[in-house]
Amino acid sequence: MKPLMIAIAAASLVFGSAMAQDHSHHHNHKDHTTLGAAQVSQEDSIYHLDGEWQTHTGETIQLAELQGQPVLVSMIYGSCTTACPVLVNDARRVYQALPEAYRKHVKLLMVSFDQDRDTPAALAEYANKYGLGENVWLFLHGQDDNIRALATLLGVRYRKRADGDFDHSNLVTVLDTKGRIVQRTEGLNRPVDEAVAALMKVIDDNHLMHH
Amino acid sequence: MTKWLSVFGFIAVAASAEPVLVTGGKYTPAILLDESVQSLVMEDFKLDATPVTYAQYLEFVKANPKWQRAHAAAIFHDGNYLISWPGNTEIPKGYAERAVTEVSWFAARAYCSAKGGRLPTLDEWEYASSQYLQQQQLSDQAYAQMLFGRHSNPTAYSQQPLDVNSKALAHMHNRVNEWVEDFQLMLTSGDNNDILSSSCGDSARFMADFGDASYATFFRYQSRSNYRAQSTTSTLGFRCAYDME
Amino acid sequence: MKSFVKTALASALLVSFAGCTGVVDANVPLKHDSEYVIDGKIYGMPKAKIYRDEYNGPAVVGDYVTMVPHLAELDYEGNKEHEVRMDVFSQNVEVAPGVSYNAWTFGGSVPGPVLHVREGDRVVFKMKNRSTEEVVITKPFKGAAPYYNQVATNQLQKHKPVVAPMPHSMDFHSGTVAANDKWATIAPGETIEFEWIANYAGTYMYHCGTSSVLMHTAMGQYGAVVVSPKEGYPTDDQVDQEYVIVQSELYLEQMGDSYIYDHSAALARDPSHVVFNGHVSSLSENPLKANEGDRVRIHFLNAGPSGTSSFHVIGAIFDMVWAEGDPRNTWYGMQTVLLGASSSATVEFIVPEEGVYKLVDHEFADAERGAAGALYAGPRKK
Repeated sequence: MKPLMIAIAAASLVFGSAMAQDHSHHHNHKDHTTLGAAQVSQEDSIYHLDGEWQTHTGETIQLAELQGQPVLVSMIYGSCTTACPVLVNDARRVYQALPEAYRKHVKLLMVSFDQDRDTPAALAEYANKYGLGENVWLFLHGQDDNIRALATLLGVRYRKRADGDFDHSNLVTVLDTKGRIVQRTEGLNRPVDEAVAALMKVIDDNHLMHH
Repeated sequence: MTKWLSVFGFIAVAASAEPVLVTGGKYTPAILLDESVQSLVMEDFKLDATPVTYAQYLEFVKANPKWQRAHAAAIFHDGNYLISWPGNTEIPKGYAERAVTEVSWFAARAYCSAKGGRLPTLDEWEYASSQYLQQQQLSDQAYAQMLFGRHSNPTAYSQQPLDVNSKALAHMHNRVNEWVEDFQLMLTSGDNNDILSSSCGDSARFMADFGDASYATFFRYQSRSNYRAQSTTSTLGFRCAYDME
Repeated sequence: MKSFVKTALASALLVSFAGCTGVVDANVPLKHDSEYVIDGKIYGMPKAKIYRDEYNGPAVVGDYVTMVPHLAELDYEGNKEHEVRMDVFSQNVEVAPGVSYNAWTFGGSVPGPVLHVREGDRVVFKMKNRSTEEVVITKPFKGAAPYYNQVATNQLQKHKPVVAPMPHSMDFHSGTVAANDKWATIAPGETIEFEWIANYAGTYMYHCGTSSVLMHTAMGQYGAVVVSPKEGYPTDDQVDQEYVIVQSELYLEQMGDSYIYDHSAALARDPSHVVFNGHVSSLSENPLKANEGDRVRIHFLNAGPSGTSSFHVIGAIFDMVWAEGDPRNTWYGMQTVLLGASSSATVEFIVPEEGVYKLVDHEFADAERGAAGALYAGPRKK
């Protein structure tokens, strides 16, 4: 136990100063640390999750209500200034790379890590910033336990830091009409071809264009 | 048979221990999840004195049929969920007071949620473990030997009955591995680097010291983080935590 | 070579692509879009796949997969694609008389099976984490590697299946790939599948790379891949016997009636046993065989995890030594070969007379803890 005691003495930390140190450590990297995405080895629908979520338009929904259309999903938090805007933009890039006729069949789902700060109102503001019009974006605010469960199913790893920000994986995932993972793009500003192809395939396979 | 077991299960639940208070305080983890945070301040919370037993889990699946073996959604487990159970509401003979295993992280969370609790966070569990070690006055060496001994023969440990009437924390290290809420280990050391993306043997920088106890503890962090949320094994169980009123 | 770097195109292109590989090197067949060639070696393997599957067939599969000290003969010309499986699971093994422990193993033995391929071969590898199952390897199994029969006829380790659920991984030193992808850790019940090309000739270690790597390797998760050179060794037509020896340390302490892993001893590099081929008696109970005047080749791997080995044959001199088994690294006339952890050498010597030749780690503290064996030489037959 002795080295442990020395470590405490040397650091002489209380929580507050730990946070301060955290800040100074990261002062050149105000944003998060990227965490690698976890492998997913399951092939079933993530819509089995039965928690409730609040949309940026103030509605309460369950994920299962998204069935019937392909969904492009990513997890972000609103006060994140570097990676998250890129992730949102990556989703938009995928959307814009789709042929016109396919676009209206796709939902862009952005789920927040931040139970405390990303209220539906805050998310509405965020959605407005990214345009694309009504019914394309769906930003979700949820409770910590539901956020953790969804992230786990998607293979998004994250943790809340002492300063309230989040370290997380950068992952954009395509779900089919039943909520099964069909394609994942890890990283920022990646080529969108594979995600676009996956979305088109889901739309074609399910004959959504004829409806 | 089923009926008899359910009666037995009920008795076991009735006799099960109350959650115990874990008093908050400053805590220096053996493993530094973030190089820049050497200590944490923990709040009070309550933790089950022992891992959840088969008898308790049986009550849960009776009240929540969607968590019975045949009904649990495939996405929430790896195919071996409760695989040893003879039936949906029937536990293996003689298992009532053992720590329930073959439960995924999703199942463990559902159980705790139904009890008005939740899984402990990694920090909470490890903090409780460090307090428990002090209470036990176990030497670092004895603690390390016990843990490595269990890893050498985990089945023999997981099959031992629990002290279900314990008034204090019990069986933190000598029965089963236990799920925690944020089990996926996230050790960071600067940007773009965390343990899952790094290779073998380069983890010493995450340890507060190189004593026997710390290695034993670190091994728990390491192996725990490599399970999937769907994993179910015969040596992986859980206990629940509760916020203070 | 840049023309080999392909963007993701329709799979139909693969056919024409395979057709043009002959332009560069007829012996280097490319298989996946992602692959490219530098100096005749193939890089850019596709991503590993991790999935769950109900597999419960033989735990070790592959025509050229054997138990130490055996090495399968490469009975094919040129290069080949090998489908190899080595499942990971726990097994109680004896390592000295009366001393057994619950090992973590590839394929059920310590060390794990020997894989023999030729430089340039492709290995399609599968491994299921079956640590939650009792896997029996002492009975013949249809479709299993030759390894199975060899284990069945050599019961020195007294294999007994045990359940010890644990995440594991596989790291082939013979593969040149992104470790974070191919050597990924899999949870119990999962299967990982990936490919690698045996780009370099030599004798290579494989091991579990899951943290704590010291514990995982010390628990028994290592073995050898022998990659024979494309053009062979210069002495190929003179070699009479060819064997594989894997040296390793064990760190065990007694707890009740059984033995458990001792992490403190492992950190202190204070082994309880140092063994050739997994048992203090492996090469005494079953000595290597040769005849007077034979040229004997031994692929010797020091798996560690942490110690060195000074391999010596009492009464012989290594007239040819290839460091790491690469035919370009030739040494001559060596009495002892010093190997660090995970290093290997391919050594050859002439058996001078009928008799017994002791094989030792000439670091005598290791020899005294078990790192010794023998080669029995019969009368001259040539």
